[in-house]
Amino acid sequence: MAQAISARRSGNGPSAANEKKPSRWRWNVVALIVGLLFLAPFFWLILTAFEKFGGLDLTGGGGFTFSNFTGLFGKTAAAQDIGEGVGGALLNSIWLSAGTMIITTVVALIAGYALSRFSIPGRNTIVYAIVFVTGLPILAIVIPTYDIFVTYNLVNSLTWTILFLTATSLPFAVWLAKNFIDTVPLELEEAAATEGANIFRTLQRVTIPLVGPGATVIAFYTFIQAWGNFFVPFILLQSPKLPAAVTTYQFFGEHSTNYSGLAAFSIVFTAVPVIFYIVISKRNGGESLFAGAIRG
Amino acid sequence: MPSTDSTVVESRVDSVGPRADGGRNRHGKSKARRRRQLLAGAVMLAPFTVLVGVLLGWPIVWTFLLSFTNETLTGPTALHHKYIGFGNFTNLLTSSDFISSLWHSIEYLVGSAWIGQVVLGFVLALLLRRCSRRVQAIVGAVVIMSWIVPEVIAAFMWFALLGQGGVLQEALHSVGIGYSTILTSHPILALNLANAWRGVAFSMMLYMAALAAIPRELLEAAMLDGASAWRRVFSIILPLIKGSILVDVVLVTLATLNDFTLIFTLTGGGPGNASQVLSTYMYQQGFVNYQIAYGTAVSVILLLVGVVLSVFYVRALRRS
Amino acid sequence: MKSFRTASRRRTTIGLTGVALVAALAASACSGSSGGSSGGKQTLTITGQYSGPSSNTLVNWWKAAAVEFKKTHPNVTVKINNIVTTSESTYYSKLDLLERSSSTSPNVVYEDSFLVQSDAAAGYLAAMPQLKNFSEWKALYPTFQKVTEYNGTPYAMMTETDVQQIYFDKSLLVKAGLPANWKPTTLNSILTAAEAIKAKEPGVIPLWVYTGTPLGEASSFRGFQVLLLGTNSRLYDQQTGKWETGGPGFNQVFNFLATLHKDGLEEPTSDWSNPNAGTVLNTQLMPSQKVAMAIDGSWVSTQWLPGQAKPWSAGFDTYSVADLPTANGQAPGVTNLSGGWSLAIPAKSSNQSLAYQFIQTANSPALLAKYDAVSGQLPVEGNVAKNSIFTSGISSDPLFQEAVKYAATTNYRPSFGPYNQLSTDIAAVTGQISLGQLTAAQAEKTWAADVRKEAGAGKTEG
Repeated sequence: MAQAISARRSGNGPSAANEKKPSRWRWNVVALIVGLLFLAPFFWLILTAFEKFGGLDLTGGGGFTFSNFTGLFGKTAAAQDIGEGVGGALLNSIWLSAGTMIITTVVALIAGYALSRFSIPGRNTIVYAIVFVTGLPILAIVIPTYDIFVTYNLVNSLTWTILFLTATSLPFAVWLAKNFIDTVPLELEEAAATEGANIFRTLQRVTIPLVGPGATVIAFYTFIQAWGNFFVPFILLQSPKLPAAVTTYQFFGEHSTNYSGLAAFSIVFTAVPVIFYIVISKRNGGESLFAGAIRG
Repeated sequence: MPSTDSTVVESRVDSVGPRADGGRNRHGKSKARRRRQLLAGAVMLAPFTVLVGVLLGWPIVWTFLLSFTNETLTGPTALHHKYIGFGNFTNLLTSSDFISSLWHSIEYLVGSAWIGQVVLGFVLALLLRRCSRRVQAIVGAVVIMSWIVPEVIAAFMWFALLGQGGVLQEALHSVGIGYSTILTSHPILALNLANAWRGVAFSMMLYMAALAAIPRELLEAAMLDGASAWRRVFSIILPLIKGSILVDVVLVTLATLNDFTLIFTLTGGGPGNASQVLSTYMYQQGFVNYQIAYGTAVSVILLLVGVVLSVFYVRALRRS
Repeated sequence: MKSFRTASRRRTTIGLTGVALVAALAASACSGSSGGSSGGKQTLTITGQYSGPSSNTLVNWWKAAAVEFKKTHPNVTVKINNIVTTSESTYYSKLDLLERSSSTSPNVVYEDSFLVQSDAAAGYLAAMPQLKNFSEWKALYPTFQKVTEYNGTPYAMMTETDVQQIYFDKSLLVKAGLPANWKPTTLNSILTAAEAIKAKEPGVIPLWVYTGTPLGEASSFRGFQVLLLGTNSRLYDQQTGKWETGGPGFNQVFNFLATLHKDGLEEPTSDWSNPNAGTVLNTQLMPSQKVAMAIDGSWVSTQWLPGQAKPWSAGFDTYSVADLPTANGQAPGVTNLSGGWSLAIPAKSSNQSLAYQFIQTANSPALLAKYDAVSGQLPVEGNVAKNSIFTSGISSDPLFQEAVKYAATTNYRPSFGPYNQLSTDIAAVTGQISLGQLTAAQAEKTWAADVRKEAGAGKTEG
């Protein structure tokens, strides 16, 4: 069935066929320079993570060491006193982010499908309202949310925090989902149905593969938003349920900050979504995540 | 799972074409079918409606109500607050701090969102599409990695880069160029750089996808007609991806207006109030001065600004 | 048509599954957290702020107190539940939220002294009149009894404090022609010293003062209020109960700050506007001898001890300390301002009497002496200050030893009513002076307007 779809992408640049090969290298060089510029901020992070007494400058406090990393996973001084070590905090982060990601993606796809396929009265209003809501500063509603949660005894619960994060991620996710599904022509589903394929076949052969890339984008986006979120878990949770985004602050001191420890922790903290990204882009055949196309 | 190549549908661009709304109206609708659709639609929208209505809608309403009270986090009005009507709002609109925060928010928006992400993202997409596959992958990955880095970490990476005694200063000094940190002299510029760095990947990916959908023939024909690269971009490409551009502008605008952690960690709103934007102003009023009702009023204004901008988007999209 | 029916049924199934999922989650998650007791065993939660590695000393103190407490209360488990954040305002926001409901409220809380009064006014804290019969309370320096009183009743027990000093680099001062045991007697002598240093050593910061936002309270406290206390003007008139809109003391301090800016005697904007200014000063600038004088808190030298993030053993020989003089050298000759922390009981604590007993245990002189010796905090009572554990513990830090005596005669902030907003306003004004945006006269006008606005009609004078 997939073969019936004509793929007339313009491929790797509209002038690929006609452009003389040699002039491409100029663009390559420019792009690589841009890439190098983008890497600049990482230098400090990596250097300081391996320094003994790193600071904000690069004067190399005390020589090269791995101790910042090993110190993270033993019982750091902080770990004993705040209830979760680095490993525990990362697990909390994974739990929160993955939970939010899964629920958001599923609910968003279902809702996006309905908004895309069905003529529901007021559909446009709903979509516009959804777009507006994404403009809401979550920081503003966090305290009223806490008040509500406290009234019903829902604070300090990972599950309810996941649900709240889901609710705040859903507007954008649904909007993405609707747009992705809009790009999947109805004919394909109908064609599969008239050819006698039953529901699940259709789902398996047609819908899911077509929606796959879109679902991946929604999932990944939701994951990293939740991964880096500080305020929501800070307000709604307590030790030892805090995710790494909150426990990052154990390295900041009022009068002296442990920059080396912070750098090492940051690398580990950032590594998880990076690894996640590498995994999904490998499955996508190395294409950009958005190759499923977002339309207006 | 089949690779994305073969699952991409026939090329079509944005809102041009007969199937702009998913082909819903192609078949005649019987009453029964419509009712079935309504039921199915309602059921499928139920989880979304319940989750968002209860966990987001209710706090929003509560927040809205809160902005009309004088509640604080501590002090006598913490647990026993009263309704003060529009008092917070009149205080806000006559406060010079609020006006300057609003202005800074706009500067930050134009600089780091519209120029730094929408325009830059488009330029990067154009650039990368002219490169070899390998370079595309490498540079694309680097840009995306900047996007993945959690915000607080990105903030102090940039602090280490731009700050006094930081990486940039040492690098420039070593080749004899003086540099006194722009975190002090031009804090909003510093914020724009950091935020653009952090966010451009999203726009870039969006434009790469949009550009990929442009039929090759159109551009080849233009080239054969002797159109220069500039003409091709402005006369053909931009009009064709207008929808994507609008989408990008709205999304990036809304995200940037609400941005907090980066600004707070990088400059703290300073020096003085030089880089205080609405979100940091809201934090200061709500969490530092403990005037949460007043802080909430600021966020209501923030939301209104976002809504106004979104309305422009909707209008513009309807016209296209 | 058949296709659509099966298709829509499929969609219905998906939709219903989704709803079921959410419902199941909601049902399973409906068990909220509940603390308290079960079968004779009780839990006592104590909450403080975890603001970086230096907070370990705090936790160790409570752990030691828990061990002592177990001896008298074998059925009670003490649970330390700290809030991880370096920003005090974020800590309080979370703390105040926790204190609002009995299901989340800790039993004992660690309160910064300047919030006790407003938290008491809010109804978050339980009154502790029984403190007046507590031996350790009676031993407190009088200032620290008054700080935590609201309507004449104590609401918290002060446990530690800090004072402000002028740190100066001996060799840098000597190079500028000043004595190695420099003792300024007026605000002017500080200015003169700074000018001398600027003339002789242009690459060095003559005087570091905390100013401007984003540091907020630190600027207001160490960069303005402590200097104001050396004059005859005050922020708040205790006799009349009104907030001052100005006065000769304000004039003098604003002029002092304006001169610092005008003559280039203070640190560059890029330093004071750094949200991590304290760290930069203590662990970067001072060790590289880029600062001749600094007005900072008594904990500074403890940052240089071994075991800290950036130890600097040479610091204790390089730097010395001087008292803060009164503005014109008038009696009492020296001035100071203190903050500090206390232990309090939330009004919604599940077991107030148990909490009180824990506070008593934690405040035993031996435990406090051990804590103060390693934490860089000063004792708030003579028993602890003279305790041998304390004195031997700080023997390696001569600068800190100097500070101990000030605690007995220091001042505190008028931390009620519009204090928070006023403090932010002070920081804003000093910042504008340091940016050259306000002259001293303009600063006075701005300040007067701020006070009238925040304090409200009828609550101001001057």
